[in-house]
Amino acid sequence: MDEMLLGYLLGTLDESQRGEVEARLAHEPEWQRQLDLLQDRLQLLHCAMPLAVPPRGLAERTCRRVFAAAAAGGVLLSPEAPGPVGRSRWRWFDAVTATCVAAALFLLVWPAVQAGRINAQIYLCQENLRDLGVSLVRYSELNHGYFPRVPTTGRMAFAGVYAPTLAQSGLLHETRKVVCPAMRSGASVGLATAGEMPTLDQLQQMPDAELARWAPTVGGSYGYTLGHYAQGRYFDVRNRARSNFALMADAPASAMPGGRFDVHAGRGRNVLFEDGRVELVAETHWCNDDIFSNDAGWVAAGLHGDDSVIVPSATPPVLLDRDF
Amino acid sequence: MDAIVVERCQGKALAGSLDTATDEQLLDQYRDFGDRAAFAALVRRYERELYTYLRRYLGNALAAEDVFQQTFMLVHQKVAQYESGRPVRPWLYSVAVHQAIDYHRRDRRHWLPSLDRFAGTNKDEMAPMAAALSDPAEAAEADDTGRLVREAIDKLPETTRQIVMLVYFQGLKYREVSEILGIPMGTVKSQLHAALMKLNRLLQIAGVSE
Repeated sequence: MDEMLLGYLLGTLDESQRGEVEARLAHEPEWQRQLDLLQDRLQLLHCAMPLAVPPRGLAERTCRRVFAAAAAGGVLLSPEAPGPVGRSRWRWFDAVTATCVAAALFLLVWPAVQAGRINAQIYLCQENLRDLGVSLVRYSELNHGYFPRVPTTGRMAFAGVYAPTLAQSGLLHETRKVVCPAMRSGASVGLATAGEMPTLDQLQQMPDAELARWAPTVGGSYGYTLGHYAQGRYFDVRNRARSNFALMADAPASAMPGGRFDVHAGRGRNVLFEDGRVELVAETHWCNDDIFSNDAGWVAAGLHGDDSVIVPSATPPVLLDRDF
Repeated sequence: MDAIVVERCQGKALAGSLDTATDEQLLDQYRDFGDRAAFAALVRRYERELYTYLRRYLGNALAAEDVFQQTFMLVHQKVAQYESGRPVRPWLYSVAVHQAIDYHRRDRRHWLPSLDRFAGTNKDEMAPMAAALSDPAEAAEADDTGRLVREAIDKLPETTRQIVMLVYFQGLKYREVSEILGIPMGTVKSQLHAALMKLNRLLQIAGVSE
């Protein structure tokens, strides 16, 4: 009954249904009472939702918007109307929230990303040193147990000469191996990217000015050990597979004692030992030996056979007596 | 050859008779000839009716205007899909209803509380009601009743609320509402009835209805 009466009040019944309802209303008081009740309820609904008058010019604005979109061949995203609050999907609150969330995520994730990047660079650096260690050991096997020599005099008297020496022996196939991946600046970075390294003959014959440019570069970002000077004589480094003798390492930024390091975010420097082992060493000392200066504290040739002194590429083997 | 075919063959044959053309003829004219005057006539024809529906459903004048414009933007974009002879009114409502629902969902966080749904109503919009109730006491009582009824309507399920809006307030036929909402006609009838019963219960609890 209610559905029929409702349809009757809303005008949704067809002719025959309407006739049926009217007949019942005329003869059955219950139907009439129910109709009155429904009418009251509908009246309540009407009170709740008053008629709304559209804002002036709505149709015109709508047409302009649609025709502008049609002329542009697409959808006009910005509706033509006084900007309603919360019109767009993104409001200032959403934007601020999204920015805060992004910033929080960035702060949470960035340290981990950065730590991961540093770890990867340390690992790749160690790989370089391992490869160089293999080359150096192979060189010593071919040269009566001696590692590449750093001359004490002449144009080739600088530590970085070890690299072209290895290359000339066919033991250094990739020049990028002499540059730590963590190095983002400095002369040696060009060496890694350019992939060119002068030969020993070229170094011998190039003008002084050009040699001065190559000396800090050719040995890469790693320092190489000097020999030792004792009793007025300089001794080259001989391979005895010592576990505490440093052959190469991340070089300090300067050849001065206590020179600072720019690599691996201050976590230490990678050191290649004579036995082929590579370690990240936090201190400059190893078994009471400062591997970046001799026992007298100078960046010069070692004072005895176990006094390793690792120096940057351009550093010559300065010869100083123990009593200097 | 019937009248519509003649009009198509003659291009903008409707130009002089936009007011008397049917909705379907106007949309045909816009689809086939890009006749902007026909489209504008359709927009003007539904300006009050569709806006009123959107205003009631969204409870926000600015949102209603936005969705109104978006509805006709979609009509323009989909006009090529319009099949001649298909009733335009349910089609228009169908677009508007879905746009309104989308808007509602999208802006749920910013949805105005029920009590304030008509708080932003301007004086022009409320003019018919104000004119009907000249006695301040009577107007205040009606306003209070209206608030309670609106709260009760807000508590109805989404589809039921749409049915109440479309059938009662917009005067659409059961068949049209069934088409717009994609539900059987019997469901429209039963849900409308159930909605009124539920509204009655809610209003009894609130002390508005006996």
